[in-house]
Amino acid sequence: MSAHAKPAPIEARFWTPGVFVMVAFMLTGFLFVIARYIGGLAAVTNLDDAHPWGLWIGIDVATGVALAAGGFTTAALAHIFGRHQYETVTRPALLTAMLGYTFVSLGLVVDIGRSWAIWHPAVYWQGDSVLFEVAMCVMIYLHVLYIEFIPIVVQHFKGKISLPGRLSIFDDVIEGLLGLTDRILDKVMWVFIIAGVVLSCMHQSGLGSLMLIAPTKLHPLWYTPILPLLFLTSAIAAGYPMVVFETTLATSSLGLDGEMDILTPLTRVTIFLLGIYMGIKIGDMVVRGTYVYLLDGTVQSKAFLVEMLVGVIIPWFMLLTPGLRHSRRALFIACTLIISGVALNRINVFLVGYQPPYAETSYFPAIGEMAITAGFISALIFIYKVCVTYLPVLSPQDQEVIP
Amino acid sequence: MKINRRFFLGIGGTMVGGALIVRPKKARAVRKPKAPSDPYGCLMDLTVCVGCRKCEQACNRVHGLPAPQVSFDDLRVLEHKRRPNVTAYTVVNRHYTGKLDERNLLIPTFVKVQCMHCQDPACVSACIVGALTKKDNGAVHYDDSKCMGCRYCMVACPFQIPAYDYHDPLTPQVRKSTFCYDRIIKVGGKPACAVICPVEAILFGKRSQIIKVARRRIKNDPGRYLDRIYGEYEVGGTSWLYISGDPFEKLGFLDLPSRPIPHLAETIQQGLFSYLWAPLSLFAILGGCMWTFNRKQIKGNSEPERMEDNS
Amino acid sequence: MSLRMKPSKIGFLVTTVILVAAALYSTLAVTVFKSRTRIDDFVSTAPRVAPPSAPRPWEARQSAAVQRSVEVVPLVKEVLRETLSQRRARLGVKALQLEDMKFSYFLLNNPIIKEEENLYGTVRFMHKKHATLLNDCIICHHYRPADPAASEATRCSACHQTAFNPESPGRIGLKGAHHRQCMGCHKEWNKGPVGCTDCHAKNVPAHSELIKLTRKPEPTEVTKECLRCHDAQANEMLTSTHWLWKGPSAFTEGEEKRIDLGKATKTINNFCINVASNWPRCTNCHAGYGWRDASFDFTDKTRIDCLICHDTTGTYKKDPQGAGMPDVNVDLIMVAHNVGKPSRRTCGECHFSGGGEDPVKHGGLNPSLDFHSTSSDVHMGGLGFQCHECHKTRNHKIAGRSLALPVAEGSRTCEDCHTAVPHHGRELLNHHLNRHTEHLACMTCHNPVYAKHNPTKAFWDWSTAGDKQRKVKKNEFGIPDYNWRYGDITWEKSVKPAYAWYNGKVRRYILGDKINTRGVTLLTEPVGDINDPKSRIYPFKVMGGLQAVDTVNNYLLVPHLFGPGGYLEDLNWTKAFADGMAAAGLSYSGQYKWVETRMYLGLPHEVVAKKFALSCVQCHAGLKTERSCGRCHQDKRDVDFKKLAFQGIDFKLAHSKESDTQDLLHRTYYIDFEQLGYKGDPIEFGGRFKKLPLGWRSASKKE
Repeated sequence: MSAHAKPAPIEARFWTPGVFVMVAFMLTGFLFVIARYIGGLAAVTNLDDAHPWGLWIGIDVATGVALAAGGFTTAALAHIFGRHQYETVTRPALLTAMLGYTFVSLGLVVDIGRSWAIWHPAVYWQGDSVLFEVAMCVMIYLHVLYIEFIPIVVQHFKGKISLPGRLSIFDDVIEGLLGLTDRILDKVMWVFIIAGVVLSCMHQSGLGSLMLIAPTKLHPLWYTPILPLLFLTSAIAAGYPMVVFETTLATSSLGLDGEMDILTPLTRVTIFLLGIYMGIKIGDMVVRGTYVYLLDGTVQSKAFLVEMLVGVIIPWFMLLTPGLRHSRRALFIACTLIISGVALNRINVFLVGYQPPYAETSYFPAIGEMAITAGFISALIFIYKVCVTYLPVLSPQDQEVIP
Repeated sequence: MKINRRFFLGIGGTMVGGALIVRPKKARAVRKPKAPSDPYGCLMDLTVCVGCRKCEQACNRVHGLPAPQVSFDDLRVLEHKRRPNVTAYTVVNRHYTGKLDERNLLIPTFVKVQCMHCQDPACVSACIVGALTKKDNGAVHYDDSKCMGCRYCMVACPFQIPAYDYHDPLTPQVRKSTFCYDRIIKVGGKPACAVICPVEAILFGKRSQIIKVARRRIKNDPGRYLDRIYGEYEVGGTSWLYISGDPFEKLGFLDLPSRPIPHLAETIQQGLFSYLWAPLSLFAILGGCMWTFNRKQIKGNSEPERMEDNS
Repeated sequence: MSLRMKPSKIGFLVTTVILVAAALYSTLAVTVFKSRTRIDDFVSTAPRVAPPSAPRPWEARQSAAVQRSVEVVPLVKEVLRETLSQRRARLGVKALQLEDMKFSYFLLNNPIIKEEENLYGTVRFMHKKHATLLNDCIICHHYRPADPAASEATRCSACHQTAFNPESPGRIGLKGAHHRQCMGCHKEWNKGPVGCTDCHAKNVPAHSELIKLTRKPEPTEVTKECLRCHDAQANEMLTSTHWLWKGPSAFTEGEEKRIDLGKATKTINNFCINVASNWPRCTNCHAGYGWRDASFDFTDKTRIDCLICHDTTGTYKKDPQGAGMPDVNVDLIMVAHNVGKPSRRTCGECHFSGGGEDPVKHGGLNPSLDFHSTSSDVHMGGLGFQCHECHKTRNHKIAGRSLALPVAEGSRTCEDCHTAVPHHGRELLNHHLNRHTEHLACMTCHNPVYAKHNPTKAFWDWSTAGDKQRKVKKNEFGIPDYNWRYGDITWEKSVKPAYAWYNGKVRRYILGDKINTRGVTLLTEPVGDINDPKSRIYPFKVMGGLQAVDTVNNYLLVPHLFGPGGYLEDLNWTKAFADGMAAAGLSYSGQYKWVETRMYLGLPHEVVAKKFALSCVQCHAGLKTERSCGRCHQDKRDVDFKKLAFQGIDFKLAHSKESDTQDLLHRTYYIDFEQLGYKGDPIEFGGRFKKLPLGWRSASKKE
């Protein structure tokens, strides 16, 4: 059975053509980052006084956080609710989450005007600010994620420490420290696991609360007092599809087993979670009567329709169909639709639905913004590949025939 | 895998609990209005303003802003609607509401746009580091030494006022009217725009007092004014108030709710995070779940594999 | 001790006594003055006192206005709030009248306004004019103090002082009160100025800190320094007539749409004829540097001479032969540090000395305008006007027109300020005088003689030039009547103007036009006719001269006069004409003869107040024999007809003050009505459009 396999480094060619493409994107992005620190945000972005938040907040931060939800949802499932058979997917999900949040932070560093002042919220507390809550949660959660990841590193190096030359005298010390860390973490890991879930719930909903401060600017299709709840439920709903998505991608690109025996049950949970999200969202629309905007032909209404139909309703019905659920391809498509639905939701809330009353132009991301975002995503995938190549993250198995 | 009842209950319970928590509680008692009790205010009488742009000039001078490309005497800039930006904290716009004078010419109405200095400002609530604060004298004050440039204030501002130094790579600032904080904090100090206004279209004084003046003006000359003081109730009240003879909607004013903008977000925020009760409860629930679900396997020789038999 | 005192001691004693007396007297005077100028007694509740009949001298009005303008009076805390109709009803017959007005003229310059910011200069306010036109004081004096003992109307600054006074919230400050009252009305009535600089002159910031010039700079370097901040102004200047010496000729008949006429191109006069080939001398009045020949670059901003107009030191001078370059001795840095608004002196630097020297060309524009003399010009002398206060300047385009030159960047008339019924108040005669304005320009009566203080050229005969042997005599002004370089020149002082109908258009000789072969060629001529309702009688200086004409081509010739090879050096007309015409771009046949030309020059300056204006009888001699107004009006004993009809300029007095007015002493029919197309004096023969009731003579003549 696949779950019996231990996670281990992948033995696959690292420098594939895809990696070179990623490196190209990273370099391009890096050039634009340099431009941003020479000419200011205006040099690389289309941000203006009417549109203070753009692609980086909409994609890098909001969507990034939502899609990193796989980390805490699988952790909750596997560790808190005791479904240990899913532990094989917790590691890649954890890695994705860790990298995701890292790049959320990096994206923020680039986006905020005074990158060097990113530590200010830790000192100048302003508890009324939703963003403060989000920032604190993200900051702590990022640490939690790293702590959760430590055992993977420790496990990899424990017993194999052999520093070159004279440094070898430190081998024992480091070995001892690793062992100690492993032992301590093993005892207290449950705290971090639960904390991770709590923090995730907090800031996933907090991200939704962010836009509650703009009742007159956010389109009524999205502005609802329960926006935080919608964000939370959608993030949870997107967690498992994200795991499916990245596991499928990783396994197929690395030539590993599809792990369908794990992914299919995960999607059964997803039916339930996505159903909750869909129910709340449609219910909210009905209660607030915002369905009147659905067919008014504006970009916003179209975006909302796409988000709901393609991103929620269609994949939900796909998952309801048992046949499709067991097809690796259909499952992948359904999960891709779900996560793009959630991503589109974040983009809609932060960009499409944001209607500044006096805007003279509408916002569309500049080349520089897109290049930096693409660079960050490439870097994320690149590091992911580095990690799975050198650390025991994935659970490699013999090639199986895909059902 | 079977989704057993316990699992369902656990997840479902957590979700419902979360939903209950996240729902805006009836926590109006939690959030107190934050408006200062006796702030200054400015009353702008739109029936008086002649659109001379002197206020823009004075603002530019006292804030040491860069000289504009088009001189302040050049009124052709009024042909386009402008917004305050990083180099101009206040601008005057000309609106034609369709009123004609006896020579059949359109009568212009001029509207000065600047930070409204809300009584309960969204930007202050939004500011992650407290760089924006509402001062007792009414000014919404910006402290760039705290700012980290997240621009959430700009998202929050219902009047779309704060502007940003997008061209500054390292130390950009949020720019908006300061209410001449440094001036009005002194005894007898007045905002530069109010002082320079040749027709005194801007009346500076204690907000409570100038509301009385506005009411008196409206009462004494009902033909001249509409019976509305814009900013008296909008978003919980603003320090800048406007009276007009033309409907405010035609003059570029937004129809805004009277509830302070931060109310909802802060209510939720404080409802959830007072004494961190919600996160701690969630932590406890999850801890309970973890203990419940894992007890069996902990008993069973800490062999995680045993759980797999269930599936 | 001896009783005899030393003379010095007596002197000391007398001085002390005089000083003490003077001190006592002045204290008394001040007390009396103070009590009189208390604002509360603008209209006293006591029985009305008839206003002093004798007009106050002009100087006193200006200085008193200056003094009043800086007074700060105690704030009236409580006012009686009434509507206009309530107030009218309460006042009834006691309503304020024009006669209650104490001051007809104000300067608005209250220090209260300048407390917070001081961007603009003093504003002139014609109180009497407003009072007359509105004819209802309480429109402006809208509330009265609540104190019943106070006067019905107080000055604005009694109630309106500092803005935003927490003790009286909502009561607007003085600045706001002025602006709202003035602009509100002006807008409502679509009359009167509403722009900032229509009333105010901007204060110029001190430039000593701003200007960074270290060593002795070239003039163009100074301009570059100016351009650092004033590039836009330089661009305005590049299209101005003061720079191009050509521009729109909207008031030249037949050439209304042209923009190429001007001194730089085809304008000709009978002084030094034309600029072509004579640049370095003529262009010393150009607001630029180095216009030496036709190749001057009119797009080069650094050649603009900012200082000639913006100098405030009075030390900036141009080299008379230097093509506009400044005199080498001028301290350019000092001048640049002290730039400011143009003044009579800077404008006069060129305009007073048109024709080469002071008032050679324009009799009415002369240096006497720069001195505070009311008899010279009531605005510039008496009230301290600067040129730009009338000649409104916008974007370096200066309003005003001239007969001598076709270019005009706008137009200014007396009526712009004084209205078409300029005789304000209820004085007797005003009705008659205001009827005159339909037919007469203001200057016709208010500028009875021109070149009052300095002689001006009246006739210039170039044909006699070149005779070095001729004996030169001096005329009554001590000026030689002949110069072998220039020929015969006739000078006049205190001249009676010529009068002609003028509707604002000018018929103009343009270089290359055929001359009038049958008589005198008119270089400029006012267009107008007695039957044209738009035409009015204007005073003119008529300049005559003999100048050369090409006998083949029949057009006037441009001589090369100044500089090497010019006539003034070589005394060779043929060569001078050949060079000059080549520079002007016209062919020259080689043959010339002398013809008489004449040009009309306007006399809008040297305006005098009513005290020095023409009296009724000076034109209407028939009135001299009348004893009262009884011929038309019901007679009233207390009206002194003689005084009314004879009040006006006293040429005897003027003569005693060195004015050359002897020939005008007993002149009647000052205006030659028959030459203007009337049958005779209109009050006898009827006006141009209708018969006056007084037209008895025409009736009697018919019989």
